[in-house]
Amino acid sequence: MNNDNKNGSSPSDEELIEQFQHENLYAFEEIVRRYKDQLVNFAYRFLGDIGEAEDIVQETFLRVYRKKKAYRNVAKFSTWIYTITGNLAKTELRRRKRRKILSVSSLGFEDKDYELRDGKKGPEESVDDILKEDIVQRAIDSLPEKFREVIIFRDIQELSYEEISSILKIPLGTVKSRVNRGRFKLQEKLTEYLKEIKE
Amino acid sequence: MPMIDCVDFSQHFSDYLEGKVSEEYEKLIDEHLAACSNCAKLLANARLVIKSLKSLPKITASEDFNRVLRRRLAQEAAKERAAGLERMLNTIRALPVKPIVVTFAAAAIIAFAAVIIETYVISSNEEKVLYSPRIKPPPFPGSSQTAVYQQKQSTTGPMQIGGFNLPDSSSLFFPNRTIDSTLPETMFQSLRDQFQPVKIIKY
Repeated sequence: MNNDNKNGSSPSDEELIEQFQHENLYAFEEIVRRYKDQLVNFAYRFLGDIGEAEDIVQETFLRVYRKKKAYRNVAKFSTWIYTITGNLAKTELRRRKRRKILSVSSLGFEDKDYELRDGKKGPEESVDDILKEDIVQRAIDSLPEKFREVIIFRDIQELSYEEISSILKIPLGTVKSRVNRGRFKLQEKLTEYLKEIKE
Repeated sequence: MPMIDCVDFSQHFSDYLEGKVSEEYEKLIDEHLAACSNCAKLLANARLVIKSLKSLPKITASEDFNRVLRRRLAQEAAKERAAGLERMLNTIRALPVKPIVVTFAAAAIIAFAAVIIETYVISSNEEKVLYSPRIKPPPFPGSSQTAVYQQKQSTTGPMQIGGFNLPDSSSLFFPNRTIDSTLPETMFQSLRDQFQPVKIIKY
């Protein structure tokens, strides 16, 4: 997100989308460059699957490309693009649930064999770190959708309550209450893990 | 203000954690926490949960993200063109003329479309901009030509357009900093000083 500079060296997101609305392809490129990683991170934490996360972010940019004129400078651009990604991710999640119901051989959450995020790890990331990440990711995956999205927006993407409220189109009080309850629920799911990391 | 209980605390603990309660209320919560070990434990665990979430590694897009997106955008553009042609054909079909005329007209349009698709999509490599067929090519001597441009060697520092710095690498539309002349006229003008033609393609 970049909304603080209007002197030409670093255009705000809103300036970029306006440029793109006037067919400036470089502006679109810059939007992709600014947002692809943070949106992939959001979609991955929401869906727990890197392939699906990338697909959804690709689709997000296709929609921005196709419907660029639909953006009106009344809301922040980041709100608009997160809304698109969030809606696509939720649709994917529901499709996945339907598939699960239809599939006789599908496994429940408890039985599902999770794959750890692929073998690549950062220089400072140990196997232990990856295992811990997996435990936390599983706990996020098991949260009901309405708590999962606010927890990811607030505690992982670090968006403000106001911005979350605009993205999800729910009152500020509801966002706060869901964050509160989501954190309680995560605590319950991570009881063992919390004991371990305290030691 | 009266003392608060565990229910009051549970309703406001996120605000408390984030320092968003009034000073007065904060004192009341502190008093409650000093007296209630359950709530104190809850708070300590919440801090650990938030810390764990914040320290999750940031996942980034894969290396071929831009390449895949570029391909999907090209497919999208081709689909749009096909839909446009379909609309044109339907209009022709609806004309009150003999079927043989319609057949010839349709054949001519399909042939024209094949040339366009060959020029803009199939034969295009990553040097070409696929998304501006409506923009007329800038004037070149000999007219029916387009040219592929590369950055002039004499140009130093980041290239700019509309006051914006151009991305340095993994460009979505202009990989290898090569562009073609089907860019919008205004954009082309501002890039002209920074690029030189390296390849002329005849239509």
